[in-house]
Amino acid sequence: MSTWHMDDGLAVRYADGELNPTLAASVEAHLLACDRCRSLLTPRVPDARLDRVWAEVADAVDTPVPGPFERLLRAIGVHDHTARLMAAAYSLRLPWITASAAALLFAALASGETTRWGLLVYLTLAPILPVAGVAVAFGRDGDPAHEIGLAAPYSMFRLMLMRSAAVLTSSSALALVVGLGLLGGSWIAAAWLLPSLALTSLTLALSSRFDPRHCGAVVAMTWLFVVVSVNFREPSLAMFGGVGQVGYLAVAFASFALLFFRRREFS
Amino acid sequence: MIEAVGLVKTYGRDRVLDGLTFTAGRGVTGLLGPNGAGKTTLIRMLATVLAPDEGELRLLGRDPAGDRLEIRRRLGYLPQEPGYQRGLTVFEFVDYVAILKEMVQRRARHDEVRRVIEEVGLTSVSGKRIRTLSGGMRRRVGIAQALLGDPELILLDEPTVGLDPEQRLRFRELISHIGQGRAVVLSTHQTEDVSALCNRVVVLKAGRCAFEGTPEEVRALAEGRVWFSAEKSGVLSWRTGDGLFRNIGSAPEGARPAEPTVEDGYLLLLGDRTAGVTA
Amino acid sequence: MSEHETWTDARLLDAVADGDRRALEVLYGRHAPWLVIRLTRRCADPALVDEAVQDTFVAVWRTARTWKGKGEVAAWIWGIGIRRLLDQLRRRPAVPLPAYEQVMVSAEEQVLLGIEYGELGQAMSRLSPELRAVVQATVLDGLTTREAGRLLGIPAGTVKTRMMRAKALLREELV
Repeated sequence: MSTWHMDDGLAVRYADGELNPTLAASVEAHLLACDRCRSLLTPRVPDARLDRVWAEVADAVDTPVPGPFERLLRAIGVHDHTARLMAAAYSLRLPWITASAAALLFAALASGETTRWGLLVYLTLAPILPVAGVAVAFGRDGDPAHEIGLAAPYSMFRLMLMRSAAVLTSSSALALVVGLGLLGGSWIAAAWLLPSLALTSLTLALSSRFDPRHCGAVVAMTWLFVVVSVNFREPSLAMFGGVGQVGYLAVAFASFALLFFRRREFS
Repeated sequence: MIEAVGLVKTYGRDRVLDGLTFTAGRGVTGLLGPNGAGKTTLIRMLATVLAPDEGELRLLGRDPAGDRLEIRRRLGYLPQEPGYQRGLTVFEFVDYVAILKEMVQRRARHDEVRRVIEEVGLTSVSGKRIRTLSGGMRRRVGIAQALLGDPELILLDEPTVGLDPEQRLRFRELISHIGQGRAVVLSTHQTEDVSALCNRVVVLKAGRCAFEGTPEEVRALAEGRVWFSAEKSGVLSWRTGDGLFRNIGSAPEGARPAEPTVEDGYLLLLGDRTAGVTA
Repeated sequence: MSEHETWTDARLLDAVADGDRRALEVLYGRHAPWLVIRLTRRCADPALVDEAVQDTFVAVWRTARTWKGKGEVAAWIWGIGIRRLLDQLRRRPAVPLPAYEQVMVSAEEQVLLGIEYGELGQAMSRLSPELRAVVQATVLDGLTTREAGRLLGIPAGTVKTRMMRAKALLREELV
């Protein structure tokens, strides 16, 4: 390689497209290997144009890549900023969802083996998952900026409701799919729905006063205790029958009322 | 900017704030006090995260009990443990907080995020995960999010804790810079932060304001009350590097005086009342 | 900040692979101008060129790790750039390209040609525009026959036949 370099005149002509193609080709080959000559071309492109393109590059590079759940939310019409807030909860991330799915699958498969107890296991487990999900969606570990969020203008109450709704929906969707798939199409496969709602809303309502993780633990434990003690001698699905379902609806209603009443506590 | 009168906060039987009264304006105000003096509680109160049990508080001319939203829109807060979610990059985290600060326009929000990241000097690492950064850089991420939206009041809870001297120096430069034209309140238990950085200092002791003034005034409290000796004497006394003891208290006749520092003044303020060593 | 400006391209690219945004900015400052000009000589539409340059540097950011460390960073960037331009051209209707015209070569330019490509360069300048364009696209720009066809707006088969004719003519000239 010789020590030939471009001069300003050649640079101008090249940039203006006035060089014949073969000469231009030589210049281009040279430019690939010589930064000194490349810098001769810098003033030949307007700054405004370069800045404009850079602004686009910077934004594309900086923009956080949304995860699958976030993309799903956006696809159903949620604003991208709201989706970002919602999806940041730990219990809406892949590890959690996979673990929940695995737990449900396990329970459903187990219920195929024995009869009464098996189904009961599934119906007992399904409501606990959203409770755990909600408990883990807030507080220190669940939220990326918990304390900072408390001092921010965005309504934490609203965020909490949205996230809980997302947790409940995703958990229910999973449980529905697994249930219908493995347990047949009877109403039994969805008998956990109202209990889910009841337990989750209860956890939320209690979280206005206590640590969400404690609330979740207490609610889950109480539920387990009740199910086990009612069905200890003779496992039956009475708890999930018509009367039971009305009861769950009532609990859910009361919890939401309490939640609404105490909503200022969350800010 | 901040007017507090008789703030009281009780946790169980613990009266963490016991009638605290002070004011703070533009510039950097330091909240100095030992651990447990109620600094974090006070900062949280100023950040509208906590409400006082008794007393009056006015932030930016407004009452936090009724006008919280407007105060929060003009506030920046860096708690002691910001709790970054693992796996988030610098940009993603600051962007998240920006959404919490109601910046819904994506492009404008991203421009603002870039601006604050640039202001704290972290542009080169904005794409890196926070967990891979050093302590000093993480702290700067915290400052960046507190700067979002150009707030009038910035609250920093123990921002220099855990930083090595070099990091602390760079940090102080940053805080000095952001303190211009704004009210910055930072809590610390280190007097060097105060003397290097603060225009005003509020000394907290047992939930009350033990002193309010400039660092120079704190230093002046110890004028004539610090001396060297060959042996322990005075109520507060410790051995220095060259073998002599540095004492604070009522100096005996003919004692060799020492040049008082802000720390001496501070220790005097904290000193035991019954031993008669208070300011 | 100004420290980045003293780094070599290779080192900057390494930093970009590591998530260093400032390094990308410096690389952009060094390479965007020539890329814009070189791409403009393949496609007259400035909006498409801008999009291609933009996509190029985003791709640099995302794939910095894949650069093997061999050859010039500029060449690697060109490889990305020309393909991004092709992507743009594929999506929009074909834009007329600047005509590769036969122009009188001055004596000075003959010398320069001689330096870069020796006799080959001079022989090339005597080829017809269509043949030269094909040689340029495949040999100099590093495109495959299909990509060259897309750039020039001709079928890949035509690219192949023209390449064969060009090679035959050049071989004649150089013998």
